[in-house]
Amino acid sequence: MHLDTTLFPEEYTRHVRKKAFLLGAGVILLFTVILVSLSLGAAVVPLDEIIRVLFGDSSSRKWHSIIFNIRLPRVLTAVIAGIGLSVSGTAIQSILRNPLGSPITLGISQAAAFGAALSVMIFGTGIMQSTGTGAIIITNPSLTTIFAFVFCMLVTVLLVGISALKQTQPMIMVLAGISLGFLFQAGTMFLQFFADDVQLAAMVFWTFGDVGRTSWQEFFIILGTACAAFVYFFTQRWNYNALDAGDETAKSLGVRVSLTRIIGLSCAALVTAVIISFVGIIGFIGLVCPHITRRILGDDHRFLLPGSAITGAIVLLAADTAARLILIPHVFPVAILTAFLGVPVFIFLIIRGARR
Amino acid sequence: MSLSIHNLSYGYKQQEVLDRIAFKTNTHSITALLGPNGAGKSTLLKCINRILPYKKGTVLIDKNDVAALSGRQRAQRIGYVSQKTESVHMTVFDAVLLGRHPYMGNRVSKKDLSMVQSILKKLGMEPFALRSTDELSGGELQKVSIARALVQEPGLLLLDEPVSSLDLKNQIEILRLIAAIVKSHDVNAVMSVHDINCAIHYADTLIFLKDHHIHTVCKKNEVTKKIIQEVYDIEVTIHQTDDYPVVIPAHY
Repeated sequence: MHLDTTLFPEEYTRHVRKKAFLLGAGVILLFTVILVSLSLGAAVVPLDEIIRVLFGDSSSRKWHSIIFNIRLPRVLTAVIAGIGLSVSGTAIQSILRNPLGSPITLGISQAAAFGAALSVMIFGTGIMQSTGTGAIIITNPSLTTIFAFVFCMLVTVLLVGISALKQTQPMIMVLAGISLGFLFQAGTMFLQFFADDVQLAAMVFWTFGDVGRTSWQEFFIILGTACAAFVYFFTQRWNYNALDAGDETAKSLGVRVSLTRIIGLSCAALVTAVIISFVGIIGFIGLVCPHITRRILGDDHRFLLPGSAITGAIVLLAADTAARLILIPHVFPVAILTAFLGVPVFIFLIIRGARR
Repeated sequence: MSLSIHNLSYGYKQQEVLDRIAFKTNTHSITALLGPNGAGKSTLLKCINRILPYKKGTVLIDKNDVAALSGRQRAQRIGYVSQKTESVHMTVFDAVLLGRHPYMGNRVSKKDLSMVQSILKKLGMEPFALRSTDELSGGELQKVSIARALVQEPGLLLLDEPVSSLDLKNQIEILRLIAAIVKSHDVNAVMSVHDINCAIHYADTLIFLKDHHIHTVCKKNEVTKKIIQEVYDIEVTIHQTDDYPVVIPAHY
């Protein structure tokens, strides 16, 4: 083709700049929410104190301890979990060619809940206690986490196996994921039927997603996995755009469709498994945050992936902050609030988007 | 770019879809694949591009075996316009820019952007360059798909029923566009068509497929009643107008 290579697409460049600007605005909003979240709580820390504590020149040990030991791990976990879940959801939607795609569609959450329930049942890792923060304590949280994670990986291996057998047909992958989800849900109900009061309470309590469960060490595990996955997904941004254009078009553009699907699926499943194992089930973020971002930035993965990361972080952190505040001194499970907060926003965007 | 196919066979599961297909086409030519539904037209196009990995036979483009090329090398030589174009919430410009993927990997260069801008201008698509593809009409969407294949700088253009779902004006516009591109560039186009008269008018060579075989390969002036009746199982009359034969069903 003889194509002029000197033309400069001015309007398009402006259009791209506008999207980059929106991403920048999103980052600023995220940092604002982080500061507000660090400041608010049972004790309100003044903003200037937060800055001083973070830069290490605060004289107040009280503020230092509140920020570093209580709020910062929680806030950062919310941010990173939000990023991981939302970015995985975005990738899954493209990989499965299905707008309903999310970690839930893959049966991962249900598998995690089953693993946790099994560990409660077999090893008795849940006991009842009366403390200020909650009635149920999981005595051996790391064992429960490991169990949840193992079952997440089991469901991932099954799903990847089935997908590979059937030439990674998206519909097969969705159906396999959803039915595996039902299988593990039934498994959990089976355990719950035979569980005693305390075990039952522990099983149910575990499924309430809560970003306050993580220590610094666990946070770094989530951080590492989520960052690696984000980098991988971002290198695949054009491949996902190609998948959205249809399998045949993608193949004609040289994209290795099956391989892209299998690796992307494994990657999304791994991040989701790590996050859910540590913080419990927060299913909503992976479905809705990508869609909120799609409404604002469009389906181009160059902007959609970083955009979803920001949206996921903001929504989960804002929801968690609200969850900490509404029942002071008790902490409300964030998984419940994300839906309360996110669904109205989502429905508003759907209606507004439809009118355009 | 020349295309030559030898002994190509392909089947899904037990069912044979293509049986020992062989033909050659040259650059600056348009070849139309004709035949009833299920004759194997789409399958043949997908095999040429190795979207469907055939096991028997060879496809050569300019003496290179297509099966030996990497996906990326293939994408730099063969452009493919699929029967159905998906529309997503992405601008026309971005959707066309995707056609540069085989060259750019992930980094969009100035040259890529210029080429996209240039093709949009050439096809008269500048006015809706920033519109989202899910807001386009069928004709506009088809142009996006063709523009995407063209920025791949292909030597071989494969089009799967490029005009079947379009109105008369858009049909003519798209086919004229393809004819103009093939004339002025080192491009060879193979397309499947349902409208025999469109094929006669725009294609240099007609290939009739019937029951997974090539029934006839002929030039436009060699189309006879017998061929059409055998391939489509329908009575027709052929009228000569100006330079072209026109095929009309005998009983409407």
